[in-house]
Amino acid sequence: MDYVVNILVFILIYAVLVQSLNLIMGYVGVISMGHAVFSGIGAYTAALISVHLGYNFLVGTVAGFLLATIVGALLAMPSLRVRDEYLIVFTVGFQMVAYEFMLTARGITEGQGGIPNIPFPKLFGFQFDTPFKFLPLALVMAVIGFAIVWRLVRSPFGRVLKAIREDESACRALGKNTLKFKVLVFALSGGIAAIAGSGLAYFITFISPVSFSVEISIFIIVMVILGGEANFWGPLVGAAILVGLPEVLRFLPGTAGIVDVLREIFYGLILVIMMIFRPKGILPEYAAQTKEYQIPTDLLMEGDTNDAGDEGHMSSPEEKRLTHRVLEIKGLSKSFGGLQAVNDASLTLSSGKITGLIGPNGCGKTTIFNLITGFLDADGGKVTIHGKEITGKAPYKLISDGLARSWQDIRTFKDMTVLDNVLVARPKQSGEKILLLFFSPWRVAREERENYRKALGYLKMVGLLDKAGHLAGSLSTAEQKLVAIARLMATECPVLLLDEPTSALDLESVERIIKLIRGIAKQGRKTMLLIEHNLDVVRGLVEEAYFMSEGKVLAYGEPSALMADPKLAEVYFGID
Amino acid sequence: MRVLIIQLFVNGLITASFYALAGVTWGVIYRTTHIFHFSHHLVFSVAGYAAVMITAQAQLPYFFGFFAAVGAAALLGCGIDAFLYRRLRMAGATQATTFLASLGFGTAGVAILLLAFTSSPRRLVGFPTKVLSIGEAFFSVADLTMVIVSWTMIGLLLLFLAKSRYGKAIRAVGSNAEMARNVGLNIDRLYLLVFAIGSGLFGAAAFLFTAKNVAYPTMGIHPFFMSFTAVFLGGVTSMPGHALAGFILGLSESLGMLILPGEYKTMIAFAILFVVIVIRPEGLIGFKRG
Repeated sequence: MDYVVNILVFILIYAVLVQSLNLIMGYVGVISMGHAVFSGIGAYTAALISVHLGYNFLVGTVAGFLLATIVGALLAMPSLRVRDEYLIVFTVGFQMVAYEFMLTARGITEGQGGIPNIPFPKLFGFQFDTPFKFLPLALVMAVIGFAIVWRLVRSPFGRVLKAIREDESACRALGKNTLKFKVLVFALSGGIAAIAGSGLAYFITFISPVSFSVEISIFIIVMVILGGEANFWGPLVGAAILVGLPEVLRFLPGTAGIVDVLREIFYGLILVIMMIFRPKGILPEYAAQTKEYQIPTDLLMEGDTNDAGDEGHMSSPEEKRLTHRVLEIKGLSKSFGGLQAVNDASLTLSSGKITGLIGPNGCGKTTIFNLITGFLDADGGKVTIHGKEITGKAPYKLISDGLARSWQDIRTFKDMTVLDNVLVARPKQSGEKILLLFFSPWRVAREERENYRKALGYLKMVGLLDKAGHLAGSLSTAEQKLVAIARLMATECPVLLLDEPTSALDLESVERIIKLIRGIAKQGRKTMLLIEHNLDVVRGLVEEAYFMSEGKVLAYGEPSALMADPKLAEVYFGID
Repeated sequence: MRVLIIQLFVNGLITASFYALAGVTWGVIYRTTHIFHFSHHLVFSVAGYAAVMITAQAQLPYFFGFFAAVGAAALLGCGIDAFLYRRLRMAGATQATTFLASLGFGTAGVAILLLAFTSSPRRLVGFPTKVLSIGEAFFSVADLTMVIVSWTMIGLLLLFLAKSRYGKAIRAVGSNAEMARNVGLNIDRLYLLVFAIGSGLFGAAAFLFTAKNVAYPTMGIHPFFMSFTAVFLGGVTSMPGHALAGFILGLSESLGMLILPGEYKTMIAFAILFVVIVIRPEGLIGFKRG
C-alpha cells in the first residue's frame, strides 16, 4: 500500500512541476530547457533552510518560491527581449551551469552526495512522516499550484498569454506590453516549479543534483507534450503516465540494468512521434472546435442599433476645434540598407474623416504604418497625435494615445475563439494585472462581464455573433477580416489605421466591409487612414487620398481626380 | 606561472579553433533554415563512433576514419532533415515543434549509442600521437591538425557562401525563404545541402576531437553547447561572427582556468553570452532582424 501511495505522491509533485512548464510552453509558447533547475532551487532552498536554520517547511517553501521567481525573471528579461529562441539558449546554459554548481559548490550544496536528513514537515505538532500522511499535504500543494495556474490562464491575463502565443506583434498592437507578460509568467512558472521542488525535498528528505539534471528538464517537457500543451489537465495525465511507467518497466524481465537507458530512448521517441502525429498531445487544448457562449437576449434581437461604439475618447467641442488635425506626420523617412522605403513623407488626418493612402505595390505604404505604430524606427521625421509627439514610441503604448492599427495579413489569433479575439483587445483590463487578478476578483469579474457584453456587441456589428464560439482560424478569410475589424473597434481608439481591409476578398464581402467601415466612420466618429489597392473601395470610402510612389508622397486630392491625372495613373498602372 | 600562462594560451588557441568551427557548422544550418537543430550533438557523437569503428574495429588507416566520420555525420544530418524536419515543414509545424522533435531525436539517439556501446570510452586507433612543441608550449599532432583543419574549413565555407552559385542561393534562402521559393530556388534541396555541409564539418571536428580524446555517447553535448552559444554570441546573421565568437569562447575557457577550477567551463561561456546579450542583443557582429 505504501508503495502505491508513494507513487501517487510523486505523481502529484511532478504534476505541479509539469503544470508550471505547461503554463509557459502551452499558454505562452516559449520553451524552457531548465525547469528542473527551478525545482532544484526550491528543493535546495527548502533543504538548507530546514536543515541549517530549523525553520518550518512553509518558510522553506515560500523562500524557494521567491528565489526561483527572481532567478526566472533575471533569465527571461534579457532573452525574451530579443526573441523566444534566446530563452532556449539561456535556459540550456542555465541548466548546465546550475548543474555544475550543484556538483561543485560543496560548501553549499554538499556536491554529488547531496543533502540528507531533511526534517519531515510539521504543522501544529503533526508530522507528515509516512507516504500516507504526506499524501494530503501533497494534495494540498497540487491544488494550490493548479489553482494558481487555473486563475492565471482562465482570465484576461491568460487571454493575453494566448494572444502572445498566436501572434506577438498583433498583440503588441493591441496595447499589451508583451515582454512584461512573458517575463512575469516565466518568473511565476519558475516559482511554481520551486514549490514542487520543495515538496520533493520534504517528501524524500534527501536531495542530490541528479534530481535536477538536464534529463529531468527534458523529462518534464516530454510530460507536457504527452499530456497536451495548454490543456489544464494535460500535466496530470502526462505525469501519471510517465511517473508510473518506469515502475511498470521495473517489473519487465531482462530490463534490470538498462531501465534508465530504455527510458531515455522512450522519452525521445515520444517527443518525435508526438510532434509528427499528435502535436497537441493526448488532451488537446480544445476538446471541441467550438465553444458555447451565453449571449444576452437583447443582443440576439434583430436591428442595427449598436451602442458599443459610443464610449472612450469622447472630446468636447472645444477640444475638437483644437484638435481638428488629429494625426500629423511630418517628414517621415526610413531606409533599409540602400533602399529609401519612405522619403520625407508628410500626411495629416482630419478628425472624423477617412483618408486614403494609395500607390503602387512596394511604394512604402505599409512601412509608413509600421513607422507610425512603432514597429519600425524612423530615420527622421515626426508623428504627433492631437499635438502630442508619439514618434518612436513602442507599439503597445499607442493604444492609450488612441491609435490602433489593422494588418494586411489579418493576424487574428487563430487558436482562440472569435469572442476571445475581440475581448483581448478591450483596453485597461484589471484582470491583466496579476495582483488584482488574485486580490480583487470581484472587480475583475464585474469588468469582465462588461467587456463580454461590449465584445459581443462588436461581433454583432460585424455580423459574426453566431460565430463567437468558433476558433478564429476556422473562419473564412472574409470572416477573419471582420473579426479583425471587431477587434480593432474593441480597442475604443478614435484613430484607426486600416491596412488593406478588403484585399483578397470576393465582391460580396468587399461590399459588406465597405458598408461596415462607412458605418463605423459615421457612428463611431473615428478618424481613419486607409491603405487600399482596390480603387472602387477607395472611391467608395474616401473623400481625399494621398498618392505615394517610391517612398514619396506625390499628391493629395480626391481619388478620382488623382486617378485622372495621367502622370499618376501611369505610375499606378505603369509597367515597371 | 609564465609557462602555465603560455601553455593555457596555446591550449586556448586550439580549443578556440575547435569552437570556431563548431560555431559555423551550427550557424550555417540555423541561419539558413531557422531550425533550432538540437540533434546536432548526436551528429557529433555518431561521427566520433564512426571514426572509432573504422579505425579500431575494422582496423583501417586513420584517414578512412576521417572520411567515415565526415560521411556518417553528413548522412545523419541529411537524414534528420529529409525524414524529420521536411515532414514537419510540410505539416506547417512551428519552430517550437521542430525544436522539440529535434530534442527528442537527439535524446533517443544518445541513449541508443549508450545501449550499443555502453558508457565506457572508446579510443581511435592509428592517429599520430607525437607531441610537438614551440618554445615552452606543448601540443599534439591532433591539436595542430585541429587548428589547421578548422580555419581552412571556415575559410572555404565562407568563400563558398560568398562566391559560389549555391552559396548565394543558400544565403538568399536564409534571408527570405518565401522570396527565394518565388524566384524558383528548390528550398528542400538547398536545406539538404546545408545540413550536409554543417553536419559534415561537425563530423570532421568530431574525428579530431576523438583523435585527441576518446569517444563516448554524450561527447557531442559540450561542443554543441559551444556551437550554438557561439552563434547567438556572434550574432545570428553573421557567419564570421560565429567563428569569432567561438574563438573568444575557446580562449576564455582556457584562460579562465587561471582563476576558476576546470569544472566551471560552461559557466564562463554562459557568463560571456549573458553579458553580451544584455548589452548588445543582436550579438557581437550581428544586426537586428526586422
